Amino acid sequence: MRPRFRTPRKQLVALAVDWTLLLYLSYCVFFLINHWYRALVLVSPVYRVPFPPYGYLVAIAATLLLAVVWQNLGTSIGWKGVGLALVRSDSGPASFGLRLRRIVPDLITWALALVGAVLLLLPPVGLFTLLNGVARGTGISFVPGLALWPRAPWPIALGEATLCLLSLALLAFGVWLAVNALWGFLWPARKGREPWCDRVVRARAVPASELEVTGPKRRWWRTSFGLVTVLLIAFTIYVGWLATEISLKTFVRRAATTGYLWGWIVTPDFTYFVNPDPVLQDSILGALIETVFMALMATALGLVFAFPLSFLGARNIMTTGPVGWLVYTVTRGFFNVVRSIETIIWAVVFAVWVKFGPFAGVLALATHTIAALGKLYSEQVEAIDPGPVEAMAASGARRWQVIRYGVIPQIVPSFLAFTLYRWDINVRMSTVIGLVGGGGIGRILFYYKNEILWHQVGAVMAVIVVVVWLMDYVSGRVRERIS
Amino acid sequence: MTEPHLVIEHVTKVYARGEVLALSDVSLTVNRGEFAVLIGLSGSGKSTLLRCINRLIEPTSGRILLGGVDVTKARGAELRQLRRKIGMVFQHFNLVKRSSVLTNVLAGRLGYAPAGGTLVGRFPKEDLERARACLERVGLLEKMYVRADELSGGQQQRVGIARALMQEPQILLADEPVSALDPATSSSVLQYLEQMNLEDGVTVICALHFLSLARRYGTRIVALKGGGIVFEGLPAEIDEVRFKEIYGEDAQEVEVR
Repeated sequence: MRPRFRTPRKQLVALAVDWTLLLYLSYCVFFLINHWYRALVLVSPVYRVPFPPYGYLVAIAATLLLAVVWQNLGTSIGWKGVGLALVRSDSGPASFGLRLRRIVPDLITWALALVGAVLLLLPPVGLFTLLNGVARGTGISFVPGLALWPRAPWPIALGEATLCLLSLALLAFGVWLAVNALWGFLWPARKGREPWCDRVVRARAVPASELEVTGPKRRWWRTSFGLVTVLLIAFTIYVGWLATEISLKTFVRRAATTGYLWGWIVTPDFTYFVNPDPVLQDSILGALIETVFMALMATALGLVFAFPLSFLGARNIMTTGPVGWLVYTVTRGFFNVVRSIETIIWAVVFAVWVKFGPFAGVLALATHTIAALGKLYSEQVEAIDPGPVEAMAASGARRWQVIRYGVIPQIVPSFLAFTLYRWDINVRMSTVIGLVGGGGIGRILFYYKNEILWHQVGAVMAVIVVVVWLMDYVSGRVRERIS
Repeated sequence: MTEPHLVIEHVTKVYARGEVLALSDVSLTVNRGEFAVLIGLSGSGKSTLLRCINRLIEPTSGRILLGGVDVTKARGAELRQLRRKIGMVFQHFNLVKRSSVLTNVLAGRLGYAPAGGTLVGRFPKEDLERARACLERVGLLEKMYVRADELSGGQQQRVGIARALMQEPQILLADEPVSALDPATSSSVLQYLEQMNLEDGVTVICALHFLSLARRYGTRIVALKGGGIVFEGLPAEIDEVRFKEIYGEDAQEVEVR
């Protein structure tokens, strides 16, 4: 029996992963070119080597070509990531030679496409150049310097020749891509046959989990997967270092300039700890109590909404039909969108909506809490033991009864633990949202900071540290008791 | 009593987009009051067949009749009504570990109890009485308020049996009920199933790993291999040759008392 082609989707995902990685790598290379150009040639620091418009096309095409070749080796990061492995048709291990030969078909199509493009495009372009040259009296030339017509100023012809070559390459690339995708992959996949390059070299891609382990694992520096991973990490750290302008020199040299700040902060002024500050009309203690209550109300509101939502966002509860899938996806999407918008942004929104003050802060914290807790809760619901759910469904219980008796008892402890943890986070976060009008101790902190009253800032910070520390200790102990 | 209770007609189950054939054209009739034992290697389709009967798994094709009613066509409330009559006991007990034994047993009655009451954890008085009686029957009355995970494996399985008893089932599916238990406990658990079978007249279909247990408790043995039935008959009919047929050439029979 001919082996069926079972992994088309996996291979496409792998290609997408590899292509993305290579695109990212090419971005890194361009970033470094820019950096080193500016470092070596004395140009203005803001000057950047411009990325030519056709550069995007070239980068996309070149990285795709590279990704396909890398795929052919069967050792790419994408293949590792989706769990694919290349074996011989008789299930023996694929040698390095075979992997190299697997590239050949793709390169042959590439070459054929190039030849085809030349044959197809050369006559019309040549004719156009000829007619253009005759009509405008600028002469005719395909090759720079070699003029068929003595009056030809060759730069014009050079431009046309370059354009011609570039369009040839792009056309060839397009043809290659189309042929490769349709004839080499999609069409065989529809028919359940192996892709073209596999049939040629008598190999096939199988899920890596089905592979029997024979002999020790290859060391990472001997695999393209390992090498490229290391390269990617190194590039990322290097580019990241340059992009964020990290400089140890500045860090060490300018340390002394903050000395007076530290001095003020460690000598806090507790004048307004209990007595209200005449300008702010509030004491530190009063604001602190307000903050703790803000965090409490935000957590309570978050809990109330996140609890029911978490079931809608749990895969194991919802994915029983198309409607369930939709609800699940929408809920998860809602969690992710709301969660990725920072609390401070929500605070701005609600400060406009309900005016400055603790209410805006509570709403901002609660919004973020709903999404964050919802996600954490959903993951807990997904991690339950499915046994009781199965047992209750089997005894003829309704769906919500299954949730009430089979799911909720299992998740209560972790829900409580997460809620406490979230309260802890909300206390810390509420200090920040004071900055944008969220009320509480954050308001006082940023007022003192802006007025350069650093002794008072020190006092507020000391109080926050004590409260956060206390909260952490208490919630830690309670969580310990629950689980 | 030889009236057919459960009729399985040409049931096929294909998993994962045609990759795995779990059951291929299985037909089987179980009479009322029988203690049928399913045997076969792991992956031979025992669990799948049992779960097709109460539709925890949807069969790909085929028909299953329970007391003349087509289970495979039932939807929604109708399916719940059918499932109430089918008790099930699981290999890993499937108890809610953090809940009390009583709550676990009462959960078996969810299909009958008034829906509104169960939302706030209230069950009718007669259900509480019944739970008490079921627990007494499996000898765990004094453990009623203990958390389920504080019990031993054998005790947990007995709670599982009490939960199935709450349904007052006509048929009981047992999916390797003793695989996770030691041999001595296994026998006591199976005796409770036998008791249900003999005293209450519940038809039992039980998947088992050990042939010796199958011989001791089964009135009929059905052997599965690769998703199909390879043997169906009385326990005594399984000899050395048949055994090798079912379990493969390399298998050795192990005695469990």
